[in-house]
Amino acid sequence: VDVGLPANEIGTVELRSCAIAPLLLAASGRLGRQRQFLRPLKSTAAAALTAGLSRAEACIAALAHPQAALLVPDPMLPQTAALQAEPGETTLLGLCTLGYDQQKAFAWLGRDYMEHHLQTLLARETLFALGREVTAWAASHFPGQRLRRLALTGAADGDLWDVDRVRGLLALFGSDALGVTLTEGGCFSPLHALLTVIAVRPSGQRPAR
Amino acid sequence: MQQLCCILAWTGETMLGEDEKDELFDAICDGEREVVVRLVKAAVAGGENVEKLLAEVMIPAMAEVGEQFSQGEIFVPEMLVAARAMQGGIDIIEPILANSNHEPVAKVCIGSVKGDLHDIGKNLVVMMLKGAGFEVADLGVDVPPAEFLKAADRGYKVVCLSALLTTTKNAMRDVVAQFRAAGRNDVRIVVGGAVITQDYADLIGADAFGCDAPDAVRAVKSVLPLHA
Repeated sequence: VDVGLPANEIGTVELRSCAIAPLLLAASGRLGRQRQFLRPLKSTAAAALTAGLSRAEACIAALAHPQAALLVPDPMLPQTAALQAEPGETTLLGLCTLGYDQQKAFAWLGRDYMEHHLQTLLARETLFALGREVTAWAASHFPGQRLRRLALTGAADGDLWDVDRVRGLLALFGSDALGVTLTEGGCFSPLHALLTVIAVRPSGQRPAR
Repeated sequence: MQQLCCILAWTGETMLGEDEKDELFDAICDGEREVVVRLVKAAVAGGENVEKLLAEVMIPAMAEVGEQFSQGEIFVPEMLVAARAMQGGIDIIEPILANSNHEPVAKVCIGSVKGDLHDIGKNLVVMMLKGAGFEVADLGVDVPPAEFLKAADRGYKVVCLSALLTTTKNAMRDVVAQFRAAGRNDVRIVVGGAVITQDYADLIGADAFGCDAPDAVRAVKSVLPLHA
């Protein structure tokens, strides 16, 4: 049975605040398993790296206010109509942010470049963990259905990021949009933010070829 | 000189021997900050010529770290730890150099261009440039072209521009154009970032391109008259 969000929820933004501790736990584990850290964490650099990672974790725990939003946009809107979902699919938009500014993190870390670099790497993994939470949250509205993420590639030659499209979709979350904005160059502010476009395919429907 | 050696021996401090210089070199490469700090403090207390120590031992150690990274022998975290260990030594030496007539290799300013808030690549370059003996002004992220021009007015002869997005790299073109329009052809512009290529650097009229942090150091050196 296709459950989905009720039709009257179209255009309604669901909001969630997320606890940082479990996200950081997941992020630390994934970072530590990366090849770039596996060997260094067994070398003479291990003590410095471990201490740096602890500081990075403390910094994120102190500054982050993870928030997420989920939205079933009106399919008749031009921003939504331009998405590449296939016939019969429902499009969902997910937005999440760690809710803190990189420059604040740099200051919190006493402008220590190594610790700040580690904080950036850990924050990225934390954001991805939050992004997975958003996908799971979306999936919970559509039990048994298949979800896939859509890329928003730009029209301009070589652009991997369509700034105008992202700006248009961000506007659907309202004027606040979890405090996430775009710079004129299309960079999220705060930096650690994700906009996810998810297509939900009804059970039993085959993908278009 | 003999009298100086006698005094140093009497106080229990001596200049670093070759073994200790090797140990300092290895400690920087291995990221052992405490060892670096101990040896540099000993060198200072022993009357070592710190400028020479920096040029002959410490900067070559960071160059070795950069080379190891470029060859794929070490990863970014190891380079970070090495750079931090190096900084531990520089922090001790810097006040001494400031009181002498020491000149940095060159004065370099760096920033992520207007509209780009990414600083991960830019910060790596900052660390490697400092480790190579440059005086570095970090202008931060989302830096408008006018700020780079102001830095040039303060005597920074090399401007490094960083961009991580295909949509922000065009801001580099604006910076180059503004420098050329202002007649500041004496200032060299080096570009880099995940989406930047040598072709793009040539297209916008930048003076050099660095494909990663150690290569950015090479690129900066390549635009300096002395090939420092």
